[in-house]
Amino acid sequence: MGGYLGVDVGSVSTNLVVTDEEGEIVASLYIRTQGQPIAAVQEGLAQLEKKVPAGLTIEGVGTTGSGRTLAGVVVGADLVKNEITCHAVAAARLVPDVQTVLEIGGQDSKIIILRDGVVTDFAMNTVCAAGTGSFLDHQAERLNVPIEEFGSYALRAKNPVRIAGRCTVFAESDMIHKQQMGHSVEDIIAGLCEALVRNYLNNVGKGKEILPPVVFQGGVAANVGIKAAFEKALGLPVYVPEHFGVMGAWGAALLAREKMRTNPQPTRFRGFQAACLEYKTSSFDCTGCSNQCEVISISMEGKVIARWGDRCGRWENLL
Amino acid sequence: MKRVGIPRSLFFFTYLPFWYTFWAELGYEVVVSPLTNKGILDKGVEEASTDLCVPVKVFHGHVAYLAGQQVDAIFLPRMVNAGSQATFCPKFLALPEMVKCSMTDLPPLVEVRVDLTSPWSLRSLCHKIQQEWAPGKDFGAAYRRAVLAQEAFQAALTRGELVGSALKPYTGDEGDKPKAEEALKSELDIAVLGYPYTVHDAFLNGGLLRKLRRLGARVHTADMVPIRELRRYRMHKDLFWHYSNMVFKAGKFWLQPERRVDGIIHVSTFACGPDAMVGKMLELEAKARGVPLIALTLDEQTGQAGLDTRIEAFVDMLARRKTGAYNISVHG
Repeated sequence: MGGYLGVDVGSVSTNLVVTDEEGEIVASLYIRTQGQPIAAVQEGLAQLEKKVPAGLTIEGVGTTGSGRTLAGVVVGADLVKNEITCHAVAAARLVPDVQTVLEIGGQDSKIIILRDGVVTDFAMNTVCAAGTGSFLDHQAERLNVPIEEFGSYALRAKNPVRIAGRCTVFAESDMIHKQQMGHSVEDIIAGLCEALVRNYLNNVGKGKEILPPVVFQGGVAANVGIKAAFEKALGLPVYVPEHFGVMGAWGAALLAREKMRTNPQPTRFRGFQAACLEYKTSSFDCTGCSNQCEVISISMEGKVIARWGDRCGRWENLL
Repeated sequence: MKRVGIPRSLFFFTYLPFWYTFWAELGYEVVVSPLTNKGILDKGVEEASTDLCVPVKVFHGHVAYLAGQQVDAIFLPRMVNAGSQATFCPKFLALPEMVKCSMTDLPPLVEVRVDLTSPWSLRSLCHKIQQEWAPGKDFGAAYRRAVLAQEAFQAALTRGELVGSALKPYTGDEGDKPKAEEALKSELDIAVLGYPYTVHDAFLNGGLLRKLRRLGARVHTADMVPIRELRRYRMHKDLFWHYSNMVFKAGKFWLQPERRVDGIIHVSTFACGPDAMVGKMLELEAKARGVPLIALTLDEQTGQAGLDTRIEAFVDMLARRKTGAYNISVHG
C-alpha cells in the first residue's frame, strides 16, 4: 500500500502526518521543536515509523512551516510548500465548503478566506508575535495553570475581566493588576482569551468577510476557551477539526499526493532511516562582496547536500 | 577630471539618466554608488536618525560610500516638486539638512532646490549648476542631451522594461533583473506598487521582483505607466505627496478592466507616513475591483522567511484563482 508523508516544522512544534493512498490520516505526531528543527524532524521520523501500519510505503513527501526548506533537505521532500497554502488545502479537504480558516500557531496567526474551495484572501500577523500560542504558554506558566487546562479554566469563568489585547506587554501588566485587585484566576483567563480573540479579529482579521463554516486550527485550537471566545465574538459556530494540530502537515502530504499523482515519479524520500543519519549544519560569512551573506550549509554523513542564505546564488549553485 | 557622486537611493531610480547625462556633459566623471548591500545598510543605520524610514537610512549609507571615493562633490538635491500640485515627502525636503546634521567629513554637496512648478525652472536650475560647478562649459548642449536621455529612459519603462535594466547604461549592472531562465513561464500578472526606491532596491525588498518572476509572474510597476496616463485618473482630492499620487494612480491604471492584473503587491516601509493613506486607498480600490492585494512592510530585517512565505502564498492563491487548481511549483 502506498502512502504520503507531510512534515510541518514550526517555531514551537514539529508535526508529522502519514496518509494512506486516499489522503486519509493513518498516523500523526505533534512534538516540540525546541529550537532544533533537524533533531525534531529526526525524532519525529523515528517515533512515526513505529506508528505507521506495516506494508505502507511512502510514495511522496511534502514539507511546510517556517523550517520547510531545512526539513525538505533532511527528509528528501518532493514538494516544499508554504504553510498558508497547506493549511487551506487541509481545511478544504475536511470541510469542503469551508469559507473561513482561523489558524493560530506558536509564533504566527493567520486567517484564510476561501470561496468555492479557492483561497481568495489571507492575512498573517505582522512581525510581532502578540496574541499567539507562545504568549498563552508564558501566561499559563506564570499563573501556574497547566496549558492543557487553560481552556477549561476559561469556561468556568462567571464574569470575564477586560484585558488589553493589543500588546502582550500591556496585557501582562493588565493581568497582574486585575489579579492584585482580587479577580479570580478563571475570570482573568477568560478575559485573556477574549482579549486574544479581539486582537486577532482586529489585526489579522481586519476587513475580512468571515462567513460560515468557520474552521479553527493550529496548536491554539486545543484551547476550548479561545474557541468559545471566537464563537461569542463572531456569533457563529466554530469547528475545530480532530487533527487541528497537524493540519499544516496534512496539507503538505495532500499536496505531495496531488503532485505525485498528476506527475508520477519516484519519491526523493530518504526513508525513515533518515532519523539515524548524521546531519550537520555550519555557517560562515561569505567574503565575496560587501553583503557578507550568512551562508548555511547542511551536510549529511559528512557530505554537503544543501547550501543557502547567499543572495547571489554563488554557493547555492555550487552543488 | 573632476568627479561627482550620485547616491543610489531615493530620486536615483526616477531621475538618474537626466542628472548622470547632465554632469557627464559638463565634463565630470559620474560615480554612482553600488547596489545597496549589507555594508551600506549598516553604515546608513549607524549614521541616520533612528526614527527615519529605511530607504532614507540607506541613502545615508550611499552618501557615506561616496564620501570614501575621493569625489569632488556629491549631488544631493532637495526634491521639492515635479511639476504638479504635490510635493515630495518631508524627508526628501529636508534631505540635505538631515545628511549634514548626522554626517561629518563630507565632500562639498551640490545642494540645489528642484522645484518644477514653472515649466522653465529646470532649465534655469541647470544653468545655475553649470555656472557654479562647471564655468565655461556648454550649458545648452548638456541640458538638451540630459532631457533626451531622460525621455529615452521613460520610453523604455513604458515599453515594460524594469528600472534596473533601463538604468544599465549608467550603472553598468542589471539591478534586480532576473536571469533569462527565470523569466520563462509567465502566467500571472502582478502589479508591484510602491515607491521606486523600495521596489527597485533588491536588497531592501529581498529580491522581490526576481522572486516573483521565478514563481511565474509578470511584474508591472508604477514607473511603467506613462505620466500622461496617470493624469487621467482624477481623485476627489489629490494627496499631498508626489510619489504617493503616482503609486495610487498607477494602481488605478493596472486595475482597469482592459489590463486588469491578477493581483497587487503594495510594498511599503515601516514608519512611512504617506503610505498610511496610500495603503488603505489601494486596498479599497482593489477590493472594489475584486483583485487580491497584499501589503508588505519592509524594514531593516535581513531574515527573509516571513516575506517569502507571504509572497509564495500570494502567488499560489492567484494561480489557483486563475486555473481553479493548485498549480504546484517546486519553488513555493
